[in-house]
Amino acid sequence: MHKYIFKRVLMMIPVLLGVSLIIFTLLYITPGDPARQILGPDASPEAVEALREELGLNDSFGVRYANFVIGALHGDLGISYTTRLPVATEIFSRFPTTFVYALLCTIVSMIIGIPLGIISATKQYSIFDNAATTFALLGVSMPTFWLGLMLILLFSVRLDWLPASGFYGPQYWILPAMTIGMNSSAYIMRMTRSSMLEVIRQDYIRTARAKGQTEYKIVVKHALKNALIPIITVVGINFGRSLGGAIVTEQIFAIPGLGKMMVEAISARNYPVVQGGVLFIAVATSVVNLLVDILYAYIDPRLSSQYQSGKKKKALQASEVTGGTAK
Amino acid sequence: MSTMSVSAAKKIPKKKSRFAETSRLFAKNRLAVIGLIVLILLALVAIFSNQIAPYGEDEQNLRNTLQTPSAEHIMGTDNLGRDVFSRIVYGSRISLVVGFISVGIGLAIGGGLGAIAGYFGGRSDNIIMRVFDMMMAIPSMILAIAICAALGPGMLNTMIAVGFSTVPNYARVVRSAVLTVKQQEFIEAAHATGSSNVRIILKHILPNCLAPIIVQASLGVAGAILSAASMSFIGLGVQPPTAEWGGMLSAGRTYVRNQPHLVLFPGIAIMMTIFSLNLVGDGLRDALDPRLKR
Amino acid sequence: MKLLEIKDLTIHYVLDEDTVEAVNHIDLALEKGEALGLVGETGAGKTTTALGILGLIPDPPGKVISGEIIFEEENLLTKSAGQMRKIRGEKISMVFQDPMTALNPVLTVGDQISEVIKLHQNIPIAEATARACQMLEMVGIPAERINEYPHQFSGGMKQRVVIAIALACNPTLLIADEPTTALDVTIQAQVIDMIRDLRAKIGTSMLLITHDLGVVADICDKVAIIYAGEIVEYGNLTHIYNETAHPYTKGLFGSLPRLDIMVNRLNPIPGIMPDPTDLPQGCSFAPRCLNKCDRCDIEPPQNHEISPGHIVRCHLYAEDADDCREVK
Repeated sequence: MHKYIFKRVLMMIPVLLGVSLIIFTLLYITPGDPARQILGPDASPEAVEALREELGLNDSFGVRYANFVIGALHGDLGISYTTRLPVATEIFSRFPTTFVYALLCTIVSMIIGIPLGIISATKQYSIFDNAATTFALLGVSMPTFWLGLMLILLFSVRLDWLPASGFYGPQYWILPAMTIGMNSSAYIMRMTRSSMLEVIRQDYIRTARAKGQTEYKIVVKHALKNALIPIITVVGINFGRSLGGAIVTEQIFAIPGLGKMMVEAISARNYPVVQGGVLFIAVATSVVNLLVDILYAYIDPRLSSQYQSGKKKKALQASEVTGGTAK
Repeated sequence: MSTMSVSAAKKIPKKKSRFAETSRLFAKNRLAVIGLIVLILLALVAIFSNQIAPYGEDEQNLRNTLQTPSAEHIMGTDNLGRDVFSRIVYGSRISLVVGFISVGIGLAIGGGLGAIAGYFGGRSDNIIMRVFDMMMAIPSMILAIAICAALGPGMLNTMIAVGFSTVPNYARVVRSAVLTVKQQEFIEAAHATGSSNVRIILKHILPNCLAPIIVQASLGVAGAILSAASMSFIGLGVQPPTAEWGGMLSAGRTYVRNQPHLVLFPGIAIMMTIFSLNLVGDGLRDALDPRLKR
Repeated sequence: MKLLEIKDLTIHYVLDEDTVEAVNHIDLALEKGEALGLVGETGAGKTTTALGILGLIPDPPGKVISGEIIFEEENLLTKSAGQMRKIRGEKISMVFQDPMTALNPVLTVGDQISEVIKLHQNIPIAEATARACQMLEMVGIPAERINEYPHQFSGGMKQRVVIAIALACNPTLLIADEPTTALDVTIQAQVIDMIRDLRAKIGTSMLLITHDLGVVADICDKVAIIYAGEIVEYGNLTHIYNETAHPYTKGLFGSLPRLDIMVNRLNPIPGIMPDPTDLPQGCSFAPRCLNKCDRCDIEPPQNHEISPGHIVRCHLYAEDADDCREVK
C-alpha cells in the first residue's frame, strides 16, 4: 500500500509539470501587458519598460518558464502584481476559507444526496422515486449562480433572515452551502440511485434475501458498500471542484476564497497568481484523487489486493491452490 | 413436420432496427419526450427569433427603463429599456449555437484522439492520455476561463474555450468505448479479412460505440451551455450588447433587490433548456442501454 | 410425511407488452428426507419454481397467479414477509447457480456464513464465528481462511462457501439450483459428492434443479421433468429412467451421448422451446413432439398416473386416446 501511494505521488510530478506548462503557455499568449495593467494608462513608456524588465517579462518563453518552475520547486510562486505579496501567502490566506466551504458543501450534499438516492433506488418507479429523480434533475439543471441569486432574493432580500454576502460566521455559510449543496447533492443522488439500482440486481443480494435477512440490512450491509465506489468518485470530484474554488458562487456571495482570487487575477492579468493558483489547485485535485483511490481500497478488498505488490499476490494464489486441495 | 415449421416461422419476431427500437423505448419515456418537445420549440424560437421577438435585440428605450412585466413588455425591460422577452428570444440562438458547437469541437478533437488512443494503444495511447490527465488536473471551469482570457472574449472564443476544456471527457468516453468494442471478435474477423485500419475504425468500431458517445454528447450540450453562461456571468465569454442569458443575469444582478424579473427570466430560460437537454440525455441513455430498466 | 407439496402453482412475469408464463399449474411433492430432481431445459421455469418456494420472486414483474406451497403443513404463500424471513435460511435454504456472483465481494466469507447463523440462532457472536469455521471445515476449506474475501477463492471453493451458508442452520429443505453448472467438470464431481455426503450427514431434504440427468440418477430419489413451466413427467428413478413415458423425457434421453449403445449420431429433440409469452393452445410440447396427434394442438393434456407414483402429462396415456397411439 505504501508502495502504491509512493508510486502515485511520483506520478503526480509529470502531471504537475504538464499543468504548469499548459497554464504558462496560455498566459504567455494572452494579449495585454501586465506592466501597463499595474501602472495604469497614464504611466510613461519608460516606467512601463522598467517594470517589464523588473518583472522578467522581457525574457524569452523558455527562461521565464524555467524560472517559474525552479521557483515553484522552492515554494516560491512569485509576487502578486496587485498586492505585492508572495503568491504562496495569498493562496494560503484564502485556502482555509475555500477548504471550509468545500467541506461544508460536501457534507451537506452527502447528507441529502445519498439517502435520497438509496430510497429512490429501493423504491424504483414509486411516486417518491419519480419526485426525487425529477427534483435531482432540476438541481443538476439549475445554474448555481442563478440559484444563488434566487436564494439571496428569498432569504436575504424578502425574508431578511440571512446575510447575502461575506464569510464571517455560520449564518454567512448557510446560503452558499445551500447553493452548491443543492447542485452537488443532485449529482450524488443520481449517482447513488443508479449505482444502487445496479447493485440490488446482483445475485449476492438474492443470496442475502435467501438467508432471511431484512430489507433494511440488505441495503445497509450488502448493497451500500458495493454501490459506494461510484458514489465516492462523484463526491471526490465535487470536493475537488469546490477546492478549486466554486468560482461563480464565490463571486455571488463575495466569499474571499481561491475561486474569487483566480477570477480577479485572470481579469487583472496577474500572471503569478494565476499560475500559482492553478498549480496549487492541480495539486489539491491530485491529492483528493489519491485519497479517493485509497478509500476505494478500504471499501473493495478486490482493489486493495490489486494495489499490493505482485509478490504478495502470488502468495495468495498459492494458498488458494493448497486450500482447494485440502479436504 | 410441416405444421411445425409453419408455427415456428410464425414465432420468429420481426427484426427491428436498432434505431427503431431505441426510438420506441425513448417514446415510452414521457419525461424525455417532453424534453425533446421543449428543445424542438426552443430550436424553432431560435430560428424564427426575428419573427417572434416583439422588439429588436438591442432596441433601447431610455425613457422606459427597468419596467416590471406588463402587457407591453411581458417580461419587463432592463436598465437600458430593452425588452427582456425579446432578448431572451434572441438569447436562445446564442445558447443553442454555443452549446452544440462547443460539444462539436470537444467531440471532434477528444473523440478523434480518444479513438486513436484506444484503437492503436501502446505508446500513442500513453502519450495522448497522459496529456489529458494533465488537462483533467485543472478544473474545467478554470481551464475554460484561462483559455478564454488568452483568446479574448467573444462568442467564437467562448465556444473554443468551452469545447477545449471538455476534450478530455470525450476522449475518455470514446477511448473506453473503443477498447470495449475492439476486444470483440467481429473486429478480429475484420482484421482477418484484410480491412484497413481506417475502414475498421469508421465501419465497425465507431458505429458500435455510438451509444455512450451520443449520451455523453447530449448531456455535454447542457454542460456547455451552463459553462458558457457562467463565463458571461463573470464577464468573459459573449459580450454585450449581444443578448446572452448568462450575461443578462449578470447585468441584472445589480437590480436584483427591486427588479428581480431581470434575473428571474433569463435564469428560467437557462434552467428550462438545460433541464430538457438533461431529460433527453437521460432518456437516450435509458433507451440505448435497456439494462438499466427493470 | 410430505415435507413440501406444491399444488397448482402458476407464476407469471407481467412485462410492459407481454406476460411470460414461466410456471403453469405445477404440482410437486417431496417427502421428508428425500431428494427430488427437477429436470428441464434452460427457461423451463425451474429457477422460478425455486424462487417461488422461497417467496423471492421479484415483484414487479413476477406474480404468483394461483396455487399453494405447503411446507410442513403450512401454506407459504399466505405467510407475511416477516414470517417468510424466519423460514428462509433456517428452514429452507438455497444454493444458487453461479458461485461467482452469489457471494458479496466486499464481505469476508466468514461474515457471510455467520450472518445467517446470527440471524436465526440467538447465540453470541464468538459462537457464531466458531460455527462458521466449523461449516468451512465441513465443506473442505481450512478454517483459517475465514477472514478472506470471495475473490481470493476459486469458483469451486466459492460454491463450497455458498453451500456452507445454505447448510449453516441445518435447514429442513435445501434447494440447489444447478449447483455445478458454472463449474469445471472435475470440480463438478467433487461438489456433487460433497452435497451427497453432507445430505447423508445432516439428513436434509433436497430439491435439486438441474438439466443433467446423470447427476439426478446419482443423488435423487424422485424426478420431475419440467417443460415450458409444466411438470410433464414425475416418478421415482425407475419410473423415469427405465419406464420412460413422456415423449419429451424420451427425447431428453435420446439426446444424451451414451457409451453403451452404438449410435452414429445423437437424436436431439427437433425445434426449440415455445416462447413463454405465447404458449401453444394445446400441449406445449406438441410442436416438437414425434407422437403428436390432432388433439394435442387443441386440448391441453391432463395428468395420468400410469403406475403408482408415476405421473405423465400427455394425451398418449388418456384412456380415450387410441387415435394417438395408432400414429405412434
